[in-house]
Formats: sequence, structure tokens, C-alpha cells
Amino acid sequence: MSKQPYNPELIRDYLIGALPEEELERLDELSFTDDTFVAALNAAEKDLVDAYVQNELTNEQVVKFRSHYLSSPLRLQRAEFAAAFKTITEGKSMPSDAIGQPALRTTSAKTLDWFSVLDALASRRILRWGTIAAAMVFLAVCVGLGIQNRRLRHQIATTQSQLRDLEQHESELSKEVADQRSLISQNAIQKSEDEERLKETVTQEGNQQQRSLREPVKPRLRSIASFILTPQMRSVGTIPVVSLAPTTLNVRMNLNLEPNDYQSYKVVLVDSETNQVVWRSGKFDRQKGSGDTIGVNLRAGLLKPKTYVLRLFGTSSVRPSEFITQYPFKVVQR
Amino acid sequence: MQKNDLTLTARAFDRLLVWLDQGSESQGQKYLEMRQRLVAYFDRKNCSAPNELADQTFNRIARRLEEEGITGTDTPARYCYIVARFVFLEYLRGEQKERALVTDLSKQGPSSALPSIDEAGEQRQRLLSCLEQCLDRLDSTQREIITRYYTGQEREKINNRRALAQHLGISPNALSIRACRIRDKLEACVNRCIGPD
Repeated sequence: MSKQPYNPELIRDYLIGALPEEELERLDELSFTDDTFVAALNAAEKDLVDAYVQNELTNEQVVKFRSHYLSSPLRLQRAEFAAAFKTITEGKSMPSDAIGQPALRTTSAKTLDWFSVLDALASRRILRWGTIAAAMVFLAVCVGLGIQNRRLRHQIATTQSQLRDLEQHESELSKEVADQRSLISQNAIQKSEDEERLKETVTQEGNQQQRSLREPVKPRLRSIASFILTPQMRSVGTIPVVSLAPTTLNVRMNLNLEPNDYQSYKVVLVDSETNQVVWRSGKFDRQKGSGDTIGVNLRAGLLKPKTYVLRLFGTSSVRPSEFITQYPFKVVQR
Repeated sequence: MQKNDLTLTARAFDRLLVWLDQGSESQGQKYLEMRQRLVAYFDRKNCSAPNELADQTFNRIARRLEEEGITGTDTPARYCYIVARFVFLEYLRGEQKERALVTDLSKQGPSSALPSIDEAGEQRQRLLSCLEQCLDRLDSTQREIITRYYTGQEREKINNRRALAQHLGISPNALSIRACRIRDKLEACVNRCIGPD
């Protein structure tokens, strides 16, 4: 027998029951008779358990370790201790399979306690699947929240866009109001001018009446001629005739409207022979109490003895102007 | 009365201690060491009750000492091994009968329920708690030795141990024995803390 007839690998095999019977008995005897071997065996056993806990054993060693070494409650307790010791010293969680399944079950009460550890460790697998399931649920919730977040962002963008449109519409309406006010004031000025002219005319007529006693009669000056044009007239073969006296200064065309949903209009006067635009109106609003009629004021000087067409367009803040109907008429000089 | 159930008289026990000491006056230390080796032996043999078998071995030796005396050239350690081997063989024969009985009983249904997952978790937490308490009870040098000695894996662990031995000014072998003793002490403390259950 040599001075030290063993080595760490042999002791490890001895501990996991991987030695032949003869070698086993030899080391059994040494475990009583050789103090040095006992110390080496003690140290090797701790290192073996630690190696198992730290997954340093080969697959073959793990199988034998589980089937042989862990079949004892005391050694199972050591392995559990090693796993706990590792947890404490390294601040890591206990390995999920630190303690394997022993090959044999004994009937002692304490063994059952250690099996409870095994069951708990087995339950870690259940917990692992549970964790995976929880992670999947969490992922699904995240995806759902992401979609909802995206939808809300889209709604916010749409709302902001609508708000911008409304603001633009408001500014356009404000502009239109300003235009209308301007037009009203222009009309008022026009009206006052017309009234002034009328007064002058009346005065002149009075003077002429006084003079008529002494002078021959001259034709009377008429300032405004008013006509009503209806849509029905447009398709009739005979178009309405607008007879203007040489003294007429202004012509008012009252256009009857067909039912429509436009709130404002534009009118264009077109020479029907040349198809050229002679005059364009500003924007007309359909006013309350005015019925379905809009009035168009034209200077009489624009109208020659020929055929014209008044074309009516509906306008909107959100749509381009659309042609509604037209009002043809023939101008004749009296 | 079976051989296993024999208890030692005070006189027989004293004679056993004297025989184990072989004149060295160890004050029971040799008995404790040999008992530990017996328990470890029976445990390595996967015996279900290694402590009882160790006591049974001592009882048998003490009875032999009382009845006939032990002669021959074998050392107490070797003689203990020989007797332990016989005790083990008897145990194996007895276990075969017991296993047959257990098999019969198991056919009638489970004898006891296994602890629940919660109970196992509590036991594990208790183990960790006890371990922390026992580590705190070690003096700082012992705590440093055991934590540094058993820290790391493979090559790292070897280097740690070499550095620790140099730091303490002792040989690697002496460090190994010292670390093992501290760990045994710690393990015993934890087992006491957990209780027999």
C-alpha cells in the first residue's frame, strides 16, 4: 500500500458510489483507520456538494450524485445546507435544481421533511412556467396598451386637425362678416348717392316744370329700373326683355332662387353673344326675411341692347363655388 | 430482548472509552470521533438510521469488551470498522424484510401526506434564517475563513483558497481542515436551530 493510496477523484467516486466493491471496502476501512483520509474525505464531501450545487459536475456524476448521494436524508440535508450557504455567501438565489431527486425513499419522518424540500424545488418548475405565463400576459397587456395609446394619439391628432379647420373656418367667417359690413356700407353710400341724385332730379323736374311754362317738354330722368327674374324663365324660348329708358342709371335684378342649401352666392353677368364676363358681383348672403330672392344692382351703362345672362353660383367655406342656375335676359332701349 | 436494544451500563461505557483511548486520556474525544466515523459510514451506506446503527455498533463492542475482552492486533478503529460492517450486513437483511412490509403497506395507500409547497417554502426560509443566525454567531475570523474558502467556482475557488492560506500563513491542508471544522460547526448549529421536526 502506498503512503497515500487515494486522490480527490477517487474520493469523489467513492462518495457518489461509483467505485467497484473491492475499492469501496478499502476506502470504507480507511474512513475508520486513516485520520488523513478522514480529513480528506470530509473536505472532499463538502467540495462535492458545493460542486453539485454550482453545477460543476459532469452529467454522469450528477446522475450518480442524485441516485446515490442524495438518497440519504443526512446528505440531502448537507446539500440543502450547501445551497443555502451559497445563497447567503454569494447573495444569489438558491439554484432551482440544487437538490435533485433521490433514488430511494426511506420511511423515516425526517426523510419526508427533506422530500418536502424536493417537492418545493419541483414546484419551482411550476413557478417558472407561471412566470413565463405571467410574462406573456404582461406582454399582451403591453401590446394592448400600445394599441390603445396609438388610437388615442390618432384621435388627438384628428381632433387637433378639426380644431384647426374650425379656427380657419372661423377666420374665414370673420373675414366674410367684414366684407359684408363693407358691402353694406358701400350700399348705404350708394343709396344715399341715389337719394341725392333723386332729390336733384326732383328739383330739376320742378325747375323744368316751371321752365316748361316757357320751354318745350324734355324727357324725365329715371334713376333705377327694377326687374324680377325667375329661374323658370331661363329655359323658355322667349327670354325676358328688360326695357331701359335712356335716363335709367341703375338696374336692379331680383333673382328668384330655386331651393338650395347655400347661404351665400356670387353672380356673374355674361355677354351671351361673346360669352365674355361683363361684370362680377361680390358675395351675397341669404338674409333672413328676404325670402328666396337676392338683389343684384347693375349700372345701366353696362347694359347694351343685346342678350345677357346672369349666372348664379353658390359659395361655401369648405367647397369651391358651384354653378346653380342662370338668368338670361334681353336688353332693349326704349 | 434483541441485541440492538441492549443499553450500555456506566461501567461498560467507561471500559469502551478506555479501550478507544488506548491510554491517551482523550476525555471522550476519541469516542466522539469514532462515533462520527460510524455515523458517516452507515450514512454512506444509505442506512435509514445511521445514528442508531452507530450506537448499536458501540453496544456490541462494549458487550464484547465486558464478556470476553478484545484481543488481537487490530486497532480500535479497525475493530470498529469490522463490527460496523457486520452491523451493516445485518441491517441489510433486516431492511429487506422491512422493505417487503413497506411494499405491502404501500399497496394499501399512502401512509402520510407530503408537506405542501407552502410548508416546504417555509422550511427553506427557516433554513436560510438559521444559517444567517449561525453565521452571525461565528467570530469574524471564522466567518471570513468559511466565506472565502467556499466562495467561487473551480479555478476561482482554488485561487481563493491559496490566497486565503497565504493570508493566514498556514498550509492549504491546514486551511482545509480548519474550514471543514468551521463548516461542520455551522452545519450543526443550523441543525439545532431548525430542530428535530
